[in-house]
Amino acid sequence: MIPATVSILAAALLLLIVFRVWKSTCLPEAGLPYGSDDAEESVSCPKEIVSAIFGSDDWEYISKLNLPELQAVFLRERKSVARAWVRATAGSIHRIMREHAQIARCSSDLEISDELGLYVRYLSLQAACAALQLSIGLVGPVRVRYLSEYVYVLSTRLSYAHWVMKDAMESRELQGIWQG
Amino acid sequence: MAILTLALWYIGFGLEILLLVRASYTRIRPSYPIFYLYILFVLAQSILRLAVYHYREGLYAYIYWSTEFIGVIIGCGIVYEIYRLGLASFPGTARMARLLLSVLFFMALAKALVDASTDPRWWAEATTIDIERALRTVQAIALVALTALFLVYDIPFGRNLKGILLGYGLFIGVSVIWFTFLPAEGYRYQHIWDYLGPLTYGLALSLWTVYLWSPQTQPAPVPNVRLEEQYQRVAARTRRRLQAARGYLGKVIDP
Repeated sequence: MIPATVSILAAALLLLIVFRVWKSTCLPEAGLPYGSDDAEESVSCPKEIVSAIFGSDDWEYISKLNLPELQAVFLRERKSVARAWVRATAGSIHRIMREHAQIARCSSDLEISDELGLYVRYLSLQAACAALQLSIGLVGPVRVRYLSEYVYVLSTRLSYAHWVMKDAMESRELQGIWQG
Repeated sequence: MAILTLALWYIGFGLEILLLVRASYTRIRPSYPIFYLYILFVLAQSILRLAVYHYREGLYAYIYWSTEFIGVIIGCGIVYEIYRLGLASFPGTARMARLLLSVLFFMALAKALVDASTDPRWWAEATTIDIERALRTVQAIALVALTALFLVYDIPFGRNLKGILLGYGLFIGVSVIWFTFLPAEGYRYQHIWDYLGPLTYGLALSLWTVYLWSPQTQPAPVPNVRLEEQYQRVAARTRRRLQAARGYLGKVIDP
């Protein structure tokens, strides 16, 4: 028998999705302006500005001035700009998938495995955007890069430790073989 | 309270007749054959149940559950009709939907077989409400999967199909919730279902009457040069664009 929780979950999801359909319009769809092949073209902000938003140069300069009010304003403004950029990037990723879906839905030769792979990639990118939004909200854009540097160093150390351990275990196994 | 039950019953009865008469008048019936078969069946079922209740009360439970199961089976046909009509112009999404619905169907079948083989008394002990809940839950999951695909692939709903989905989805959703809580509470609140069931069904009938008042063709995709492209080329381009977006996003956190 189907567990009660599964039934309740299915019913709740169905009612939610029915509500979503009810809110959608019945109008015939308008054609999407299909974007170019270049993703960076659809993400409007130039690379240099993105580097500046998340870089520490401006923050170091402001810190040297030793004006707490200015520092607070700077952090607040930088945070809102960074969040807007992440939102725009998530939006452009969504647009890429929407354009893909509009073509794929009519393809009689659609490959299900490829399609699922694309959706997994899309969801992981959206999750990354959500994580970035959260990190910016919690620690601010400048510290996001420090945090990623810290994680990078930590993961490098971990992989090194793993490599050393694996090496040691392999050599011990080899010794066992020789001794046996 | 008996007046309220009777009023709900008469309203439902009236709306079913109105739907069928209107469908004959507007000639919409051949476009949605299973849906109108369902409405006709529910109408005939109501008359049969009423007659049995008055003249052969001993047979009522048997007739009630027999007609209830036939209704659930025809209801599965409505899900199929939503799939068939909604995705007729969208072979790519139809392919995904076929896979998804097949997986769901085999999962439900496997679960039923495993339950029956591990505990042979299961069939004997399962109540009619348990079985109906299981069947309606499978319908609910199939509807969720199908509608999610409609939303993900931006499949436009025609007014008629939207109405069928709204009404049937609402009815199934409320039924599943109620059939789950009913036995758990020791049938203490059975009388609530006596009102809630016809009320929900009446609401579904009202939605169907409004949305199916006049026929409307299912919108077709907007013609575009890129729609003619082979899927592999489209997928490769999307993969490339997502890869580029990932690289762009990575620049923020790349040390």
